[in-house]
Amino acid sequence: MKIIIIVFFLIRILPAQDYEIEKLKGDVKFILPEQNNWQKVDKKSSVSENTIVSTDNNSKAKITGEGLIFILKENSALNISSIKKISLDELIMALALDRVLNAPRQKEKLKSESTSVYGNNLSASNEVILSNEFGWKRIKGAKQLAENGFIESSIIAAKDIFRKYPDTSRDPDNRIYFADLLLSKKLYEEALEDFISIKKLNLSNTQQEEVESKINSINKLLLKD
Amino acid sequence: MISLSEIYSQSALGLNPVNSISELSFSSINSIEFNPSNYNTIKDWVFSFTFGGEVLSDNFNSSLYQVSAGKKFNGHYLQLRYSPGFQKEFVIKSEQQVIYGNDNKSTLETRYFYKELFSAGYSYKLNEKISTGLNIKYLKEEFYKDIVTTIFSDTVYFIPETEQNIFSNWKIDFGFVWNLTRDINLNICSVNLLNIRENADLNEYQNLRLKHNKELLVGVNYNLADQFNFNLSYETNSSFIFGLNALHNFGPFNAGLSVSGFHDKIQKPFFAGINLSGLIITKYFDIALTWLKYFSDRTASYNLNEFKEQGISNIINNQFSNDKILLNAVFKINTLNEQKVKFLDIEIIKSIYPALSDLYLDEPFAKARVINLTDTKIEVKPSIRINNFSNEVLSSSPVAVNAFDTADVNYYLIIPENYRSTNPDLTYADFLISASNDFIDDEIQKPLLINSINAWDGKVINLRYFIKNDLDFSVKYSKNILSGYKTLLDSTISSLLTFRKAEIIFNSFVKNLTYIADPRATEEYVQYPQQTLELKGGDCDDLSVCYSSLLESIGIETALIDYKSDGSIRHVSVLLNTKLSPGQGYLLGANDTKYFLRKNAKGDDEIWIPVETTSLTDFDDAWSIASAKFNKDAINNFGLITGKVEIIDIY
Repeated sequence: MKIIIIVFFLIRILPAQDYEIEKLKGDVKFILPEQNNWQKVDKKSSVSENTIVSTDNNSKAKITGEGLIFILKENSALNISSIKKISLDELIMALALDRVLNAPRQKEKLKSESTSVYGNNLSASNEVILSNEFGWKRIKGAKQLAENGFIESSIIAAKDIFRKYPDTSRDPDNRIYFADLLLSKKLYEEALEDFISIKKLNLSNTQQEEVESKINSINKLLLKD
Repeated sequence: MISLSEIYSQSALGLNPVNSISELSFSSINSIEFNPSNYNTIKDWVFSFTFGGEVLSDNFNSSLYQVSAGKKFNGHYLQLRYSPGFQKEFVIKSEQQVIYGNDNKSTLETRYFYKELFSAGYSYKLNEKISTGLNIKYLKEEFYKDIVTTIFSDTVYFIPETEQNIFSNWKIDFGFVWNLTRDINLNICSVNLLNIRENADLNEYQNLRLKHNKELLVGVNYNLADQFNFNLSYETNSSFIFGLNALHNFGPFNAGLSVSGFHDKIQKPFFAGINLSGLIITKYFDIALTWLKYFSDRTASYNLNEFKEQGISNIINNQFSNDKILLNAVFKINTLNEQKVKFLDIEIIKSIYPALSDLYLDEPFAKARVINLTDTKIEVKPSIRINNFSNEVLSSSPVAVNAFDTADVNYYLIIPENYRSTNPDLTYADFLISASNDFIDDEIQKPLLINSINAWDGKVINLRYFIKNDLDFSVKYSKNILSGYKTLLDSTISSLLTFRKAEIIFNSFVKNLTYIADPRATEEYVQYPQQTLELKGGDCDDLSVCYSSLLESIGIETALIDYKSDGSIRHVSVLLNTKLSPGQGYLLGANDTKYFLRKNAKGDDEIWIPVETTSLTDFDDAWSIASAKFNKDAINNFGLITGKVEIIDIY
């Protein structure tokens, strides 16, 4: 009988992956995974995993869930599923996953792409591209993950943001910040790959020296191994 | 006093250079003495000639000992031998003389002729290991005796005459050869099993007839090494013969020696003689020079009583035989196509799914192991004929096989364009292999399952064949839908056109569809897009195939997401390429968790979105549900790394 009760209890608990967003100050909004529009947080809102939380200037939010509390500072955005402790092995898996998604597809279609009968196939370059403000918010959110000890989650989030918001990946300071996190986790090859990529960006003298110094250091470490 | 019934001679010794059952062509013909089974390795025709004579004899009976011809008909083999030299003559001179009036004298003689004139052999190869056969010999015994007849009249006349008695004999024996392994064969045969002979009424000749005691001859031939073998034959009268054959390759021919020693119960010494042959073996003819040497003195004279006491049982090998030098020649003529390659095994790797047509052009459905039976490198051509499936013989790529080597040969298939059977069919496939254009070297029939046109092998990657099967239908259907949204599409910015078309087609095609589980629980069954739309429903495979086909037909790139993790139930949904760049992601809305980036072949990121085709409400729902599942299973649970989720591009 006891077993039945425990099982029942577990069933009740297991799907409880819900998070709660509490507005501490300013404007806080969220977007549920299945939706396309933002919703404002009045006081508290319950949300599910993969919900994105965003704060404006002079705003602050408290996110609770899975036994963790996270304060999201102003002008930041975060996928609340990132607020979790993950192991180094899981980080390595996530980096491998990133490489899988990053790998160019081997084959291209043999057929030529059809131009639509309906309307002109205008060049994408003529269109207005909105600012990447949201991407910068996401980077700030990812940095806060690292500051709160979720270093592995922070690295994974940053990888996703750098791809989805290419402007953010052209900022050397942010790139160096997250490459340093890889280094701190002794993921030398991954860090080296990032620093080599960063070296191709438009760097200041100081940044250039720092990047070259780190590349040399990592190379020496790898040679020792 | 020696009893006649106890006198034998070594029956297994003939005038063959090798005197053993081996792979050599000499063993195949003119070998009746030791090979009643007619075991042979010839392919078609074979002819043999033996010339020679007795070394110590003053006059040769014949310079031609024998002529043989053999022919193989599939598993049957027939040979005939004419042997004018297989004879032995004994002359007994009496002390009586006839003196004619002119003082001419004539000594009265008695002459005994033993002749084997003809023989024939037949054998049948029961299987690869066993062959059996029989042979028939026709022998003649001729006894001539000079007598003087006295005629009384006015004068007494003495007329010399010759009294002759001629007896015909037929002798039949059976034999059996068992190839125990590739290197060992055993044989057993009868000696004098059946003897049909004319009775000699005259007691005078009874003791002079050929002896025909029934015996058994057993033998073994063992290849100690390549081209080097040992053989032993034992006769139950305590005679035996043993020998060695050794050959060496000299490029176009082999040359070597054959040595046999034999023991005969009544011949002296214990090893009565030796048969030494030099051999030259080629593809078309073989030559051997044989020296048959007896170790006892064969020049001694015998008196009649002594001869009558001993008698003979073997015309060409007995205690009165002389040393011989013989030249043997064998000619091998092959008018048939020689089998150059043979199947060892055939494995059907996969059943036939006609829907996966192109698959069988790239991947073999069957694999055969073949062996090159020749001493040169050959190119073998596999082909197949499938009953009730294709009227043509379908050829696959040729494969080179080294001499006497084995190789794996793959069988590919072309599915006939008009094949539309909706029922599975268990038929037969004739697997053929040939080393030339006009001759099939080997053929094996195997059962083969041809599935229905809707059958699927369960591999998601192969759903592409259903997607691509009827793009003409799909393009008409898609264009028909889009033509109803001309105004909306005209006002859409070009970057979003792909996304918008995918949305419109989904929302239109799901209106009349319902999710229906696969009706065939025990087999994978997939509907073609037209069937799904006509039947107004299907399961996740059918709906994903249909939606993907509609998009692909108008140039929208798709992939299938294969979720293997849902217990025993597999799930498939669609991923489509919006062609948007990462910087254009905002065009899809603020929620960046609903799209994913994949690099194209140029290395540029493109935005792909998943769509759950079993969510038959609207596009937004289908997209949201699919995104949530993809995020959870493929990304958060690392399904793409662990292999539980796989993205399969439709090419």
